[in-house]
Order: sequence, then structure tokens, then C-alpha cells
Amino acid sequence: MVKGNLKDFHPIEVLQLLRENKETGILLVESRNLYIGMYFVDGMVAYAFKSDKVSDLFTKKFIDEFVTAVKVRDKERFANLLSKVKASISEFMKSKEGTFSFEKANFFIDDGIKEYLMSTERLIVAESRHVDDEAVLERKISSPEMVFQKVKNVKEILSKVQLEADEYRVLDAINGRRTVAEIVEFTGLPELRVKQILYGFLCAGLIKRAPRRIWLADILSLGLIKKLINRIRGL
Amino acid sequence: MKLKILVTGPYASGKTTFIQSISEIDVVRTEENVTSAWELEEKNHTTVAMDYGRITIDEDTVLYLFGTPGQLRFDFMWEILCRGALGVVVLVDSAKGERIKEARPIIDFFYSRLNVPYVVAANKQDLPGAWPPEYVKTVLDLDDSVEVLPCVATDRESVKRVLLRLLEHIMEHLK
Repeated sequence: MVKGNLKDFHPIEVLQLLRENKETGILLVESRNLYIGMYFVDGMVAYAFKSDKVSDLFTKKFIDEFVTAVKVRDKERFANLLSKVKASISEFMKSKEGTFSFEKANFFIDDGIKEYLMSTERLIVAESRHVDDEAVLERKISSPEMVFQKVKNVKEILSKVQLEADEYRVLDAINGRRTVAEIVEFTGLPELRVKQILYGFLCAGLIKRAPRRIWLADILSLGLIKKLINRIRGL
Repeated sequence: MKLKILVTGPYASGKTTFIQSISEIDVVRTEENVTSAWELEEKNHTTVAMDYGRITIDEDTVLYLFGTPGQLRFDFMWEILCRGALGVVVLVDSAKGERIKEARPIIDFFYSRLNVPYVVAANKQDLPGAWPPEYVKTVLDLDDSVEVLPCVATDRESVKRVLLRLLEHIMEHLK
């Protein structure tokens, strides 16, 4: 089980952890005597609810209810459950204090149901528009010299999110060479907005840090490195 | 020939222990007592200039492991210590998830000055609740060229694995 504090991790960063590692299990958030449970399947939000009783969070009946509503195509029931899910997620996204823990679990959901799961990427991009605390943004966009590149499957992720015009401008400016400072200049957008967008893109997995060019010292040779490796192996 | 690997990371991430586990000499330390309350929560002394350990490779070649101070206020020493390093090991205390991000400004600092291979060692993996290496990679948003390895700095074999991976990465760039 992994635990943390929401003072140290913004809810978006918690979502990033679970999305990027394609986790399946239960995220438990305890904030001001309220418990929020979020079920994840392969890093996607499968279900979420809130309760004042922690024991409620470990019953599978809620996710079963959701799956049943989808399977029997009960639109009214599905819409009702979805509004509860959205309200719980919204509560979580507003949490600035409290603790979280994530426990892996095996939920089996067949592919037909997966289509109805909420896109974590979409949630991250939408919520990042509201992050205006520079200290939070600088946890990810920690230097104006940082360089990002789009991920290989950017089109697949773009199909899961809805970008606004200025977000497309920033995405177009990311080319694996421009620094954060240069993206601000290139797009003409305010620095805070660019950082917000990059923060969202990074957490949603649309972009990643570009690899650096490696320069090795001239004295290094394959023979020398092999000698170091053999010596350390023998220690 | 004198070669150098830099061992860096935040305060109390295990840099001195890492070097001590593999060095053939007692680590040469430059330590002072700590006075700030948050630092005292972790330990009562800190490296103020550098630590160094040594591994003799053969009669002509010596590998030095230089450990940096962990606090940002000593970054003037980082500048000096990074010169000529073959590669960098960044240690993080993975048992305290909230402290992982402290490695970020350190990585940014060295990234802007030292274009050599890096590995990140997710240290203290033997402690309960330690965050797995893949979570450390996510928190630090590392690029694909930086591998995050599980590590227990008190265990010589674990330290050897980290150093060997760094050297293997260097070798890949030489091929």
C-alpha cells in the first residue's frame, strides 16, 4: 500500500501516479472526516463515491451496481450513478488537505464495460485549468530550461481529452527542442497559463521530458568501462 | 587515471551510506551538526562539503565516488563537485513519498551542467511503505534515458547493482 498527504501531492498528481502506472485498485482519501473512494481499472476511473463511514469504501457492491447498470443498459440508473461519481471526484479534486492511500486490487471488468469508464487524462487536463498555485505548478514545471516532447501515442491520448484553443497552441509549440521559456515566448500566452497547460499535459501523459544529449569524456573507452564493470562485479 | 562518479540526492537520502557500503576506505566525510528542526527530524549531522570513497580498479586507475551535500544552500559545492564526473547516481528516500520531489531541483541543477548518464536509486526499499521505483519515476517525471532502480544503501550488493547499471548505460553510449 502506498500512502501520502495531500499537502505534498495535488490530487492531479495522485491521478498521474495511477494513470501512468495503469493501476487497478482502490484509492482511499480521508479529508475532514469525509472518506472518498475511487476505484481504478488500468489507470482509468471506474467508480467513485463518498461516505462518512470508512467501511463503506471496501465493499464491492458499488462498483457491481455500476457494472450492472451498464450491462442492462439502464440509462436512468447509469446517469444517476454517474452524477454521484462526478460529485465524489469533484470533492476529491478540491481536497487540499488530508491523506490518501492506494491499495492494489483485482477488479475484472470486461472490455465492453471499459468504454464507460472515465478518462483519467480528460479529468486531469480539465482540472489542471484551475490550478493557479505557482508552488504546485513548479513541482512539475520546475525550471524554465525544461524541454518536453510529445509522447509517441499522443493521438490516442488526444482522443480521450478535449483541448481548448490555447492548449492546442502550446501542444503545437512542443517539439522536443523548445524550452518552457521559449514556449511562453512562441505562444505569447501568459507564463502561468503555459505552466498550467504543461502541468496538465505532463500529468495526463500527452508529453514527457525530452531526453538530453549525452556527452562523454574523451578519456572514456569501452575497454576502460568494461574494466570498471569487472572490478565492481568482483567486489 | 582518476575517475569520478557523483552521488547526489536530497538531505538524508542515504548518500554517505551508499558510498560507505562500497568504498575500500572509510569514507572521508565533512560533517557538521545540524541545527534546524526539520533536519533534526532525520539525523543530527550533515555533509557540508563532500564525502568521498575510493575503489581501486588496477594499479593505474582509481574510481572515486563523490557525495554531495543534500541541501540547496550548498549548491556552490555541487558546481565544483560535478566537474569531470562520468555519471551521476541520484539517491531518493523512497520510504517517504513526500520527500521524493526534493530530488527534482537537484536533478534540474545537474541536468543543466552535466550531460552524462544518470540513474536514480529509490533507496530504503527495505522499509515498510516504500514507494516502488516506477512511482518514483512518475513523481520526478524523468525522461526515458533515466532508469530508476530499487536500492538499499546499507547492502553492498544493492549498491553494486546501481553502479553497474550506471556503467552499463555509459557503455551503451560508447558503442
